[in-house]
Amino acid sequence: MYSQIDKDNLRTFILLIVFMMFIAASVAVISYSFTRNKWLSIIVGVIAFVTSLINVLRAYFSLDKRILKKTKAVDVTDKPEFKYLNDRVEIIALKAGIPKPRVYILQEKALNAYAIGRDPKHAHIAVTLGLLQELNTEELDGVIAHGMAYIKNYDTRLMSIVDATEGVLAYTMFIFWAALINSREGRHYIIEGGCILLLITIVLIILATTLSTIIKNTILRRRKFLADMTAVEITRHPQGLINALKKLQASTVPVTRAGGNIAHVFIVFPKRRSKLKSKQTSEQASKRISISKRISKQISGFFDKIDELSSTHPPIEERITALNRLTDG
Amino acid sequence: MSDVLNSISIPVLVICILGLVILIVIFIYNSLVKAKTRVDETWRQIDVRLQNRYDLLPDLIQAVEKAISTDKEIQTKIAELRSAADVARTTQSDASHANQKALAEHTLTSAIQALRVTLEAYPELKSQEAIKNFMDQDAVIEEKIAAARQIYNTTAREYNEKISIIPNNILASLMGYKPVSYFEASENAKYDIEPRWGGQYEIRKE
Repeated sequence: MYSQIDKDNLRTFILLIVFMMFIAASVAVISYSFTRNKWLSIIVGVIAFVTSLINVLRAYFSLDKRILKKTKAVDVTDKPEFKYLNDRVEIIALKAGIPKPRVYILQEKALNAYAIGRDPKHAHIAVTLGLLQELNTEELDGVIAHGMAYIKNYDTRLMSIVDATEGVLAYTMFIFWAALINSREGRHYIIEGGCILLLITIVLIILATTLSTIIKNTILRRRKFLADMTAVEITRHPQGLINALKKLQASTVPVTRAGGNIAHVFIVFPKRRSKLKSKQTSEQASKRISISKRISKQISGFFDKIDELSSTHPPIEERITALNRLTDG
Repeated sequence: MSDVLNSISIPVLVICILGLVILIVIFIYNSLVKAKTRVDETWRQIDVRLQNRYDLLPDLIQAVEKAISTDKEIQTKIAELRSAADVARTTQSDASHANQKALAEHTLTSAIQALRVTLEAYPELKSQEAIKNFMDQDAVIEEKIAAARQIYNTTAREYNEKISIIPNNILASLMGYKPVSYFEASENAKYDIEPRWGGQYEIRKE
């Protein structure tokens, strides 16, 4: 098991370096094709490599702190008032064979939880107060094991890398423009076909960002399934997680501090107040207008598809079905 | 081709083979050391929890003795618990004595459970803060021990397999690495226990 993790570490590292070198090389090549200046292109390539490296490292080392701060998580590790939660986390960590992560409470009535940390030695697990009150021991174990699986599978690292690479393209485009402006030939190009060049760059950035978001979300959804399976492997009790997911799905309380791009760390997609409201009003509206029912259904079908592609979490029903398959088998 | 083979002199060949052997030895050595460290690490996880349990016992004994010191049956059970605790505490605690330690722990668990069964006759005592507290905490500690045992036995099995396969066994015997025992009570000790009382500690043949 541990040698597998070592191998994965090495593979991720190599993949990352290759990716960044590829970015740097393509930037250098593009730069050279416009400027015909060898040294300038090499420098631009090196700058692209260093910027993406810094970006990745920054995301890698600060993601956990950023999320804990953003969700206003309160550290309750080894606090006697939260002995029950600490005990459960310790037991699941023992079963998973990793050190006990730091334990946090989110002062929210919603039912949700997340785990974060670049490796098992620097891991944090946070649950909402609502979750602690509503779930029984088996269900809580399921949710904690899901978080533990997230840590054990090194999902945080994967996510910080995906996050960082997302921004790399935009950076490299800036560098490319800087290179153009800084050389005589480059300036010539800008004067000749400035508008078209700018347009192409903007379209490229939009396309690449959309594509990378879709890829990122696909990875995220797969990792959620994987974490569910690993959680069952840890607890050896799928029913606990299934029941917990059902309860989490049934709850309508929104998470107040899950804004921005941090939703993906939560066990289930954190419901938002505005979304809940708009859903309710749209349901009421669709009830009132019966003529356009069919049209609206088709439109909502289309939007559901887009929603699915842009969603960071797989539908809970699908996760429950996948888990049920484990109990049947 | 034959020219190429002829051009390689014997000393070079010997050096190459020797280098390869050294590399293999280093690789095996490292993997053995890693496996041993994992075993010791997971053992420590069990040991810490066992220690937590011993620390709880004096409070329980004191609370029970204070409440009922006259009942003969209680006195016997307390005496049994005390001796079981002494044996468990003094049994050497390392991976090579895991089996003995498990047996001692098993006896201790049985003694605690026997005391609990006896205490059933004293409902007012059962609800006493110190005793209730002990019973609650002990159940959690037993669950932790069971979880730690699971992971220890897995790493111990991996280690035992690793040091017994060829050619690892040669290096392992040179390094003085011996197979470790599993944290489980032996078969004959398994049947002399009374019904369980809520703790999830189970003695299972792996």
